[in-house]
Amino acid sequence: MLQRFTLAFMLCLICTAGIAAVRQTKGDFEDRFRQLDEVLPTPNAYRNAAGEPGHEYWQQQVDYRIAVALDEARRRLSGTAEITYHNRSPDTLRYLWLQLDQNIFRPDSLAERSNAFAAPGRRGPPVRDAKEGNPAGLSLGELRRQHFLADNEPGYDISRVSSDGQPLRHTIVGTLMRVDLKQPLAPENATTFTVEFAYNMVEEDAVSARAGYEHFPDDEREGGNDIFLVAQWFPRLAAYTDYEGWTNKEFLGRGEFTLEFGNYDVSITVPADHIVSSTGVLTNPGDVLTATQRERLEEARSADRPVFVVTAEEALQNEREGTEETQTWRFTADNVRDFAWASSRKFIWDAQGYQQGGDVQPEVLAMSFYPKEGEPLWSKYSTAAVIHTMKVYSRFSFDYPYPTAQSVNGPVGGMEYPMITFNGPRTDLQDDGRRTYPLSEKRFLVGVIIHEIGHVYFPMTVNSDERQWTWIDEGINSFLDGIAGREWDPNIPWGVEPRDILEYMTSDKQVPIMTQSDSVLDLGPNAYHKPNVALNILRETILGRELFDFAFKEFSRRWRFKRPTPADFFRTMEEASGVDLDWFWRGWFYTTDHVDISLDRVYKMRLDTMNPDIDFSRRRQEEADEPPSVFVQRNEAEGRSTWVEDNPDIRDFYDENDEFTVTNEDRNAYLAMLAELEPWEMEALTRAVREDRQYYVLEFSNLGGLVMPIILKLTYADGSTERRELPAEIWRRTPHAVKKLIVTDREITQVQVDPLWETADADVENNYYPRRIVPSRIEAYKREERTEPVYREVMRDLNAPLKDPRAEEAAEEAIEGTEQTP
Amino acid sequence: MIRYVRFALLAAGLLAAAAAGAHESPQVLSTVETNPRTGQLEVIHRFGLHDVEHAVRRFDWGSTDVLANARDRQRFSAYVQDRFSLRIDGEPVPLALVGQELEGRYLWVYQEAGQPGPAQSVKVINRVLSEPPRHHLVKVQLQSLEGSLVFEPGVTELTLDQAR
Repeated sequence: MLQRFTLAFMLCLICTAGIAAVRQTKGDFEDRFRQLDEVLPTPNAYRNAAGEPGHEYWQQQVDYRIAVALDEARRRLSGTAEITYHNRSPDTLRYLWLQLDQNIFRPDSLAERSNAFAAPGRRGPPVRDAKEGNPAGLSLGELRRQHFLADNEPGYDISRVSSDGQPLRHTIVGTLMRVDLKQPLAPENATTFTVEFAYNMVEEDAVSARAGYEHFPDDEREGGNDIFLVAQWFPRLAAYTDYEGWTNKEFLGRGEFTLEFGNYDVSITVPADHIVSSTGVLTNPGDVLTATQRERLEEARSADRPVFVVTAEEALQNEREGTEETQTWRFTADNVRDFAWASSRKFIWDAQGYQQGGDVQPEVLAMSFYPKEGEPLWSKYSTAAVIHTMKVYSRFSFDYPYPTAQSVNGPVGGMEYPMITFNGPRTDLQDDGRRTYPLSEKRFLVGVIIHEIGHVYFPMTVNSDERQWTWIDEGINSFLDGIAGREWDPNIPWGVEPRDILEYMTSDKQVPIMTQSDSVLDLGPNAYHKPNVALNILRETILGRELFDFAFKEFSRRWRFKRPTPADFFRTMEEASGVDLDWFWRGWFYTTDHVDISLDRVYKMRLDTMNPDIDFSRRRQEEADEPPSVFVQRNEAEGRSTWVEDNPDIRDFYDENDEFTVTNEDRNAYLAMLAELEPWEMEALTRAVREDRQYYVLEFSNLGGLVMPIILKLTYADGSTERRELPAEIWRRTPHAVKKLIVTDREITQVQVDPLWETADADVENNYYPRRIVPSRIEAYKREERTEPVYREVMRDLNAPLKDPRAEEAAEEAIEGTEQTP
Repeated sequence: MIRYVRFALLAAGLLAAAAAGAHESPQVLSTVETNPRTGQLEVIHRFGLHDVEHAVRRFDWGSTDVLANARDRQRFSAYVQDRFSLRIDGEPVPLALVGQELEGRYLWVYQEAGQPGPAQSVKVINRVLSEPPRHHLVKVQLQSLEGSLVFEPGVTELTLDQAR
């Protein structure tokens, strides 16, 4: 009996678990301002309700000592990693999980096996489904990818995992590896183990990775040269967190990483003529750099323009030759969450010290590494863009925390790691041997470097979880790169304007921003543009710069070298600004609603004075102002006389006194009413009558669903304008429609909602009262006069006969003379 | 029993895959709408300038600079005209190229045609910028038909119909 009762009780719990805790079960009211209580995770000792690390906040630390060698001919990396895991959690760990990202390229990986044919969001070269009579298709790029993966045995060889010379049991699960510890690892203890690994690097252009090699077959050196971009290259500890435990969700290619901070000591053995760029600081320059290079680096520290450590001529000479020798570059990096590097004999190298001051990192060495294929663009702008980024980002967050900041050119379009970024822009070789680039490539270079160096702040230092939420680092970073871009050159259209995302936000092909990275349908608008626009609106329209910047800086300060979740961001921005933003997060981040506020109607009111001598006179005038009856007008036009006109001798009282005539009875009632007023009532009435202000009621409807502030531009009869802002909270009890009373001194002739297009309102036409025709882009385009040379009618005008103006003038005179002759 | 279907090569001659990474991939946006004032069907395409620059480099057009050179923009719009077409209820729509213009960080290309009757289905044939892999959202807003189509890499034809 007891058993049966328990079962029933449990079933009941299961039934209710899937139902929202709070539901509106009558009517259709939807509370768009409902606090996010049930949505956000419960605050605890690790993450408090203010969005701050709690008093028992913890995170793990993992230190690495790695020796790795690049086999250039085989494009293979082999290494040994000695890993020390510090358990700062309150939990005892019996096993550790490591990320083996290179395994994503294996034919049996979950990513490869779940890579649906011609499916939305598929990474890699194009394929086409058979549809509507067209055969299925594969691009040559896809064939190249398949051939490369079939021929090159990608993925890790983990030859040994050991501790104190004894092998450790390890189990590989796709892109993850579980290492079983000999002894359970208690809190505040550490364990050290060694992993011996090797893998064949992928050709970036063939497989669309985030790192890999690029081959330059046309270089003078026999067999050509490569640029090696090396990232996600060593077995990296998966994060163990208070909010998810082990973050061992398989790497599917989209959701990037979340890792632990730690200290690195990495020895990199490469061909002796290679230049290596790496996370960290080079600790053995005497072994790998020439005296000249070391002098140039020293000179660069105080230079106000980049100094070449390896010049273009030296790099060209370098890439012509080759060597059988190797040398080992040793780098150390403290408190980084990852480690990447690049190596090539093709690299030109420039450097410039950035004296940022402060206590954290007074001097940062900004450096760029690029082949001749990036010139002359890179030497002009790369290192400059790196320094500019630090100047702007630090103002919004914290001092750049590391000793180096690097931009490396290679086959990757744009990718970030601590202190080092990979950026793709290149120049074009012309027939005359010059290298040129279009203006947009320059913009791409500056833009992508700002973006990737910006990532050193978010998420490399503010260590958010990219595997779960792409938007938190990409959205924040896109928001900041727009600011940095506009401060680089405001004449260049940087950033994303609210109007740019209207079509996405009104489409039915979208998911809420708060969606796990691998499930997002369209990553660009979802994780970059929409959160970027949302944060811009928050800063420029809802909070204002002062409140936003304070709160954002506080978020950055709180979570620098720590691991925030979206809830921590939402809570901090709200707590530090002092403004309830739950409605904003709910609408912009948890739904797919869009903004469309329509101004449906405006009506004007005038306060009655209660004085019959004034009010009846006004009524009379109002009636006189109404248009006369069409019927009566047409009778008059036909010359039809009326009975009254035909009988002027018959008149009475009402022919002299209309219905608006004021009687003494009316006046007595008015005086009696005044006599009964309380003093404050009398004062209010007297003042209102004296001021005789204009009263307007504006009727709005919310067609898009997203509640937002209503920004009004009022245009008055005298031509002047005024901006008024109605906060979003006006929608709190009637989210679909709302009215607002506006009181003014002057007559309003026009009202416009969102005049500066700052709220992402999808339909501009319904923002005007009275309505105004807003031309489509094509209509507006057709109206503009085309003055560019390209619009000249060359074909028509090319063969027009040549004219001699003097001869024409003479001919005209002759004609005139003829006409004057009688 | 395996049934073999015919297989085709997409965009032959285009070899390189797009570089991946933590930056945005190409995004193209098109709207197909009737304009009640003019009675015209208007097709408006929005391209990121940088995406266009990168794409035309693969076209064997020689030296191009879409931002600086109006003739390159005109050439690109002709390319769009050639590669973007519609069929409404099975009938081809005679789209005319209206022009192109730069605004902000976008290149806009315009096409138009006479107003269609009530449509049951719209087929979009779209071979614009199929390489590098792009994400192309086409929004259709006709009197009788409304919805969005997303062209993923390799996809060149999609149909929006009332059954959707």
